[in-house]
Amino acid sequence: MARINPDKCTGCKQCLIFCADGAISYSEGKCTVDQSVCTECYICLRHTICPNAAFEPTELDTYIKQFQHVISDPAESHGIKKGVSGRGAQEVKTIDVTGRIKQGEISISIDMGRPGLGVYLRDVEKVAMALVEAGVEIPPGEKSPLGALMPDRTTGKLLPEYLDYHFHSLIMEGTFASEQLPTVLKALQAVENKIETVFAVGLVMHVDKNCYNKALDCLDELGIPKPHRGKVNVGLGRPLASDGKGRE
Amino acid sequence: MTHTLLRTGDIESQKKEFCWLVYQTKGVNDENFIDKAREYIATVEAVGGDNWGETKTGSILNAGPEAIKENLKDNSRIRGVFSNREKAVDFLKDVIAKELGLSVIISGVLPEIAQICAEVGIVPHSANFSLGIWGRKDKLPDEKTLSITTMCGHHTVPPKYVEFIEEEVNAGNISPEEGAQKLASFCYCGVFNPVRCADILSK
Repeated sequence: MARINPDKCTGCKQCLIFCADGAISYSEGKCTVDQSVCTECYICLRHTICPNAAFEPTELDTYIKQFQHVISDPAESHGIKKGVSGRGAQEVKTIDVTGRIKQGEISISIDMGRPGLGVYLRDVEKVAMALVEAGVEIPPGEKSPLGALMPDRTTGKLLPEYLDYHFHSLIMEGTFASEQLPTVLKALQAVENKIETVFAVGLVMHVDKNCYNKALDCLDELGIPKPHRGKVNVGLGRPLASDGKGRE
Repeated sequence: MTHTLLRTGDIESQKKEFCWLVYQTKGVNDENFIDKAREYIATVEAVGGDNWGETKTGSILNAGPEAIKENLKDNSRIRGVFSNREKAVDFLKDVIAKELGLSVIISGVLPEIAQICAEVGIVPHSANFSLGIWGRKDKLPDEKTLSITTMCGHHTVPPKYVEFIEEEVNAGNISPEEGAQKLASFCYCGVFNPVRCADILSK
């Protein structure tokens, strides 16, 4: 993690505004990094935020500290796709050529801790358990970083020794039949008041020429506003995937 | 969700901007990726991309365009933002004509994207729909600050730094454009929109 060298810190407090996770504090003339809050995002190490260069990296000497850094620093590579930066999410990026999501299927992506609050794994576990209970299959560790912390994907429980670790954000993905969407969203509505952070919900599916899918009709009944933003795969990848069902 | 879907704030302001992302798929269409990526970048530069970058190197506003182009690797991911509809349309027209075959994503307000797809003659394939923010929204920063921090969906633009820059602009110490450049320098990947940020800071 980053530490502030006390011999170099003059207590000027200039660094306090630069930690996106609020891990830097000031006390008795010195600034320090709270290890229980730091997510290893390295923003403080990438930018010149201290006039005395007091910020120094420390060795990431455990599996979970390395995991924290790789997931929290957007410039790092997670290992699922060798050398590719990011958190290992598949979402809508290359569906036009991979055919990862078929007609009638939905992939959900829960971006835990975004925007801006960060997330402890104990809250990730609560949402994961709710999703699994609703019938969502969480991918295994070789396909999703979160799966590496989940020894039993039939429960959504995470390794208990890691529950108090803090992340800049962490993404959870799963796929299900579109008929299950109301059940899945009700499960999220039930769990959103049981956690201490925010999460952002994305639904990945095929669309028509109006960038719409009728599976979204159920949102009205659930009291969820229809989405106004979307990340649209415009279908220019080649060769196009053939999923045997054709495009709408 | 994904980092370009987290944007908040005035809907009319959101309608004006379009994020773009280009993806190769290993073993499918990643042959000669670096040459192809430079072609996409050439289009972005020709139509006037307001910011773009590659996460490992940085954005044009902190690393500069030449460093990004020189450091491209077979597994690089390029993305950026246009601050008006015309640029997004021109971008799509040109990459359609080039037939480079990588997956292209446009992220923004859905009816606007549907319209530009129709205008350039393509049918969108699939989408990641944003259902917004859930949970402890009471802990989020104020709306103005959030509309700026969420332009870097990776959350590398610290909220307290945004508030500091807002104060500097309001005090007349720096212009909104200068403030936007300072904030944009914290975004590694290039989807932070300095034009929209300056507009928000000026209000």
